[in-house]
Amino acid sequence: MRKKIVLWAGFLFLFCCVYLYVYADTLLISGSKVPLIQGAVISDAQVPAASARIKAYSVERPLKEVIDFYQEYLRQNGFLVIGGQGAEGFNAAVKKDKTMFTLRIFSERDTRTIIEFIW
Amino acid sequence: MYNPATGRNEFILINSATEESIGKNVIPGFLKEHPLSEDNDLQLRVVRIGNKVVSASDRHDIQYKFGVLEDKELNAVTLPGGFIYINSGLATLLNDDELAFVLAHETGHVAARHIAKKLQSGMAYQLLLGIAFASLGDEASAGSQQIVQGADTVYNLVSLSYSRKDEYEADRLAVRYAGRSGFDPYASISALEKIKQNEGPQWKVLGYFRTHPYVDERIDSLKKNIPVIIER
Repeated sequence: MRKKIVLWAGFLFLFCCVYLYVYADTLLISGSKVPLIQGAVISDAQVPAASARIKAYSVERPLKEVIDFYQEYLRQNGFLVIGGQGAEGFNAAVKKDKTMFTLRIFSERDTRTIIEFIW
Repeated sequence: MYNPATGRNEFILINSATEESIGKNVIPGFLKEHPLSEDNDLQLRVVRIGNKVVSASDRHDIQYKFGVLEDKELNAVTLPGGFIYINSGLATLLNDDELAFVLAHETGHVAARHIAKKLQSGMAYQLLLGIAFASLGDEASAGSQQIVQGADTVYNLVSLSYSRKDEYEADRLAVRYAGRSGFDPYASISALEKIKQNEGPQWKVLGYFRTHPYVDERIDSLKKNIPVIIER
């Protein structure tokens, strides 16, 4: 019995570590939790907009890695997507059920990647 | 994002694909209210001149669509996503160079993203996204009352007059695009004067100048700036 408890505790610990690595945090948009890639911190370059809410994060990861992460998230969760990858990065409006937002991912001064959520 | 038409870094919430999707979803309702002209020669003339002007524009990430509406009022309107319509009354009044200026002016509004800016400042962002997704097979939003009302708001917003700054900017771009595509840039002045003359005493509140105001200042500015613009 004790062995089982230790095994379960170990499994839970490993699961939490993996989960926290991939989804360090989430952003709540219209009731849906959207994952933030590990290492993302809120950006000081927030742009105000009257008609929309905007949250921007920066992360010290390559642009391609961040785009791949979010494209996989959108694909796995069955989001409808308008737009996508272009010369300057990723820029798409996405929708699943009642959750709609625009996701912009671009490189800033080639040193960090910015992730913008607009809803 | 750097906008080559305006030469400025701008924060546009609506990306080009979303703008096109909004346009595609509001066009059927718009054309129901404002039917296309059945004059095929006039349609072809507008499309031919429009496409020529567009080839000289600064924005190529959307597909421009030109059309003539059956309406005697002297006016032109641009809907999101590069849908540019000119009324038959205005298209028949102008010669090719003047028509090129009017179409290039509307193209300038698209290239400078004035339409997208009008939408994002005048409508809730969630409603705009709802309209963009309305035809993507999502039963929760397609055809809902909210979308119909949203489309009405889009028409109303694009029918509001442009700001003085936007009008000057669209004129500057129009002169550049018309000149680059082989039309006479000075026809911009005769086009505006011809429209003003044909509108009669009520010209400020009718048709073209209701949505494209500040005409006298624009004519003065064109007279002064055309040589500078075409030299660049």
